[in-house]
Amino acid sequence: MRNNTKLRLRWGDFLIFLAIVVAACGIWIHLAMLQTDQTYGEIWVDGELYRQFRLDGSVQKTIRLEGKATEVTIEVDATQMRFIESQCADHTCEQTGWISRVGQTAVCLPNRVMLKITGSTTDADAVDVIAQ
Amino acid sequence: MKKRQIGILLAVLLGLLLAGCGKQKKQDYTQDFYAMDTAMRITAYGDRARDAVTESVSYINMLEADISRTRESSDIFALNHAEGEPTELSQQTADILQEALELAAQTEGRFDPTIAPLSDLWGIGTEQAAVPAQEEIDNVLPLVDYTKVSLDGTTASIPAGAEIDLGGIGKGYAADHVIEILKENGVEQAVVSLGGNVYVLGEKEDGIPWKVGITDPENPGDYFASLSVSDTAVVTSGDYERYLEADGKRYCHIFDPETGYSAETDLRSVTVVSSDSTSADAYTTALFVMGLEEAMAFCKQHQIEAVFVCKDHTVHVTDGLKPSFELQSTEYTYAE
Amino acid sequence: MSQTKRIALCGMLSALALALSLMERMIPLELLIPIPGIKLGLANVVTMFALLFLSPKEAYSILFCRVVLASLFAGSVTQFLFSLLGGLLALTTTWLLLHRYDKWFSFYGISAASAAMHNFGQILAAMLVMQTVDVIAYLPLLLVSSIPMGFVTGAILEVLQGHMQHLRLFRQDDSM
Repeated sequence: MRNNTKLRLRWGDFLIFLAIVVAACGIWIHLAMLQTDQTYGEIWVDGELYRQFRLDGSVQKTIRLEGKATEVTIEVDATQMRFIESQCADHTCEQTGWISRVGQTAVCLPNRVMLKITGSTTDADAVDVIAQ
Repeated sequence: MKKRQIGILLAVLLGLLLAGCGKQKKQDYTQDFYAMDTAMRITAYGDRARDAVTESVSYINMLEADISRTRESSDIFALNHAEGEPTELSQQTADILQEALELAAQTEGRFDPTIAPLSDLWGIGTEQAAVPAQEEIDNVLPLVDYTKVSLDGTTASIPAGAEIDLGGIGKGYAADHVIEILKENGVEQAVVSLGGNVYVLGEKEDGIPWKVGITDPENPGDYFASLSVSDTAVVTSGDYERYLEADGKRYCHIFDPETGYSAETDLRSVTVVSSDSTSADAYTTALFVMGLEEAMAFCKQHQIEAVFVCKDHTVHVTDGLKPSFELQSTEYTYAE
Repeated sequence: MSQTKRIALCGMLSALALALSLMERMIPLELLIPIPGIKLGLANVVTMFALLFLSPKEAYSILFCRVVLASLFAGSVTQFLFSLLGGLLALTTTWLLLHRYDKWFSFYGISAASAAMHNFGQILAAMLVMQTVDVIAYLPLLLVSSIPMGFVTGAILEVLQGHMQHLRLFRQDDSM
């Protein structure tokens, strides 16, 4: 008995595998159908993803967070996001303004907080990278 | 026994399926990091992308340790605090300084690696930013003079009180070397952005170039035009990067070494496209200071490809770039 | 098995689970799936083992000890939530399916289901922490990968069970 237990699969095992594959395919197909120009707004703090939002118009939020140096305030509004305020020395991030298109970024250097727009787009004007 | 074989077969098939899924997409690796006082991002494609990017990041950190103005252990810090005495530099630092001096000579000092005492006086980008008194400007202006820098092999000296700042070409120099490192590691496709100094390696797909956006000076988070390019650096400088607003006037972080004031120019931004990122970095500064007319002539003379955005919202593009340039914003007009 | 022996064993298993979950941090799974704190779920082997050879009560205790200790050692609240939700779902699934072990399912199927639920739990935690449903996009890949993962853990359990039969630690009469 010991010798042939190596891979004695029961009928239920195949049912489990099937269920997993079906669930995976189901979610995948569902998402693939939904996927049209989905953009995301991401907040990164010191190289780590802090929050991600689907910029589909449903989110309206003001976020305060503790950056590396001071407190930073970020606004997410429907399809765009921006730095509202930073207590840091240079305030460059506030001057950057709204970002909404894939590839755009806004950075608060002293606080190492970065806003990024990611996602898929069919926009013919979309770029791979921006020279700043 | 039979069931066991079926099981193994199933496991192998699943393994292949997963491996197959992985193969379809070309391996890519991205790293975001902070260095040289800016946010950087390197994305490389290929089997050894990860090693290549890791090596690039450590190279940049090493370079920064050599040329940082603020780190007390750096070559540049030693040179700036030598009070006129000769200072021994590393080979790398000497190389960059050599290039900086050549570019300063070529641009007749419009790009000047000794601008630091002046930019420190203005303090743009710090809390102490303010328009200095004419007297103060007159005091530091004699210190801004690249011709007073002597470099012999790896030994350099500068007048007491003068300061070298390689920030003006440091990122460009870093980008050139990062591209070398990526190539050495067999990477054929990559997008490098060192604080907005872009270098694209290879093509996006076979026959399709990369699309590089150019920052909209009116709205620095956005881009107003794009360039379809491959295997090249795209470097932009503009008055929107860091500036001081005082008396209803905008003073930007690019200074005119002649006047000691921030550059009075009809330009808002200059973008240079070149396979040499180091010189492109210096050229953007110099061209910005020159103003449109002189800059266009300089580009023609030295075969530099560039995009100029003027204060009147006209955009001027050198001939070589016209086919790859695409204006996207209606706020600007394309001057043919 | 005496009470002392059981407690000692629970301690050892908790330590082993902790070691495994700390080891997992060295596997950069985040490169493939960019969700901070995502794990393979190696440590779940230990809790499944406890479920098999000890009791559900002890298995849940070991799970809880491991999750708390792991986040104390090197983790954050985020990681605590990820491991807890993933671990609980995986363990509960295993427990339920084990009722039909040998009749309907083998270790391979049970392990695969457990791994799938572990991944589902992690995505659930990610949705809570990151306040977005979009991370669900990673679920299909994670689900499919739980089948080969199931074969790995299943094989481990199979081997363990064989050896355990020979050890004096568990005799047939008090093992289940």
